[in-house]
Amino acid sequence: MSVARPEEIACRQLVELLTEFLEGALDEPTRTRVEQHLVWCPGCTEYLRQFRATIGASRRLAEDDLPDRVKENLLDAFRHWRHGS
Amino acid sequence: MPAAVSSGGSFEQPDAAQDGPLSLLSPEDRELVEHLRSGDERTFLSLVEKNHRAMVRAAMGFVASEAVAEEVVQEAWVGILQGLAKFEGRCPLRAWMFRILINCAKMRGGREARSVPFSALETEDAEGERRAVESFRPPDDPRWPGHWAKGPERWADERLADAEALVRIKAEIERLPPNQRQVITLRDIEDWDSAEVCEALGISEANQRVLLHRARTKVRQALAGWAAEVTP
Amino acid sequence: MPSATGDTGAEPPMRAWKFLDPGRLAPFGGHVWPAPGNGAPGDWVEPEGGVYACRSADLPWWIRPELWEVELDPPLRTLATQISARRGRLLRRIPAWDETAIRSYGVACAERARERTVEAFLREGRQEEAEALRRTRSMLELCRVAQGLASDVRTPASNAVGYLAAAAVRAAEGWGPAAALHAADTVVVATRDPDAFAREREWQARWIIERCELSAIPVAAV
Repeated sequence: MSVARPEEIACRQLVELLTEFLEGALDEPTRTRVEQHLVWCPGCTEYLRQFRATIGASRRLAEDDLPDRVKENLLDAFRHWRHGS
Repeated sequence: MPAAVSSGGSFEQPDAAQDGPLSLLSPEDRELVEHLRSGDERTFLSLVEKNHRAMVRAAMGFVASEAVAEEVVQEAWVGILQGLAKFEGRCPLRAWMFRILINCAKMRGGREARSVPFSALETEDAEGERRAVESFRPPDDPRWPGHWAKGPERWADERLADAEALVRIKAEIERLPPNQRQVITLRDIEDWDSAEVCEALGISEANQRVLLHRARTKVRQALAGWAAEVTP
Repeated sequence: MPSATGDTGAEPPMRAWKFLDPGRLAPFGGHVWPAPGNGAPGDWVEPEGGVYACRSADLPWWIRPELWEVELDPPLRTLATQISARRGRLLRRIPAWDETAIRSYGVACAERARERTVEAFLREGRQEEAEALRRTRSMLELCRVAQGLASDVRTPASNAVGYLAAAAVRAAEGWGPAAALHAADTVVVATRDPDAFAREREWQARWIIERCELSAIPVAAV
């Protein structure tokens, strides 16, 4: 017999809400439940840390990786268009 | 970071005062358009480079392979250049570019008999060998239903600073279903805001969030086993 | 304090408590609260979502490493476990609230839960188990013993001792808020009284208030 209280959220539900949480898209009661859970739960606190770290790391993938072949083709198309108009 | 655009509906502005064409564009956009129209190669290449990955990813939601997506992107550029003279600047340049791109992708996808509605493009994940490192207690657990059974192991901070982390993230993003890959690329790699992504891909905020969440969850999980290892 | 509503509609700011992460960092908003200095309050902070703070009774819900006395600019919104305003500013840090206090808090909560669990075993005529729990000399030992008794949930004592084990291990780790939550759950189950949760939270709030000598400062009433 567990003490599950309706106003509380379990870890399994919380991890599903994290993207909405980070975007500020949760309604206030739900957001409050998430925050209160994060105050006490070490597992979810670490999970959120990892979730954020993953997002931050993804940002570092933004580099320009344009293959040379593609670059040549597009330059050709550009010159073609420039001379045509 | 591009300015946030109001959500819902198209970017089109109501008829503006006759300040001249392109008057509704941001100064950066206006400068880009003017340079392109005057045939400036450097501007063109810079724009291509900045948007290439995002355009390929966006196209991949509609066509069968990355190779085809690359072709679609090149076709789209032709369409963009040809449409430049008539571009009135009623919406941001990138939004207009991506509309042309998505149209090309849809037509190309259609030609290859793959006209599946966007939401139905959730393909089966080809996994099964990757086992979760964490788990939850079942709903009938006597004391803590739904709580962590085996919680996430703490990550060593230096792991994520490692170049290897990026390799793994990239690999996992490649493995995602196309629609999840599109959204996480535009949001988390290219740093678009959610309204721009919804506009470009023609999906709702709610749908976009679901896709983004699934994608992020998988990427985090793919990192979990490796990032928690302690180097001796 | 009389409220001074003049033609300007100005009301005096309300005082309350605020937990922050190290460096005056808002735990969920991510912004930094400006520090007070030279006897003056910190600058007003007015984040987009508003600011939130604790009345005395709210303290156990929001524990973080730093505790501050804050001022909130009315009008205030009252929520179940916090109050909210458009903007707020820091007045002073409560130095008595530190890692040691958080750890002591967790231990105190677990000890209280142990007492209720011992009583539950005695009510069930299980002297040996009660004594085994009473005899432990550290939180880790308490966890080990409690865990050994927690294999089923058929009686209040057997059920409660499982929550007690969790409270004890968190207390041993210094995770005060987790120990407190599991301890409150222990008491609910040991006494078969759902109202016990609210009472335990009140006890926990009083523990914090006494430990940090907060009662001397008037804050927004519950």
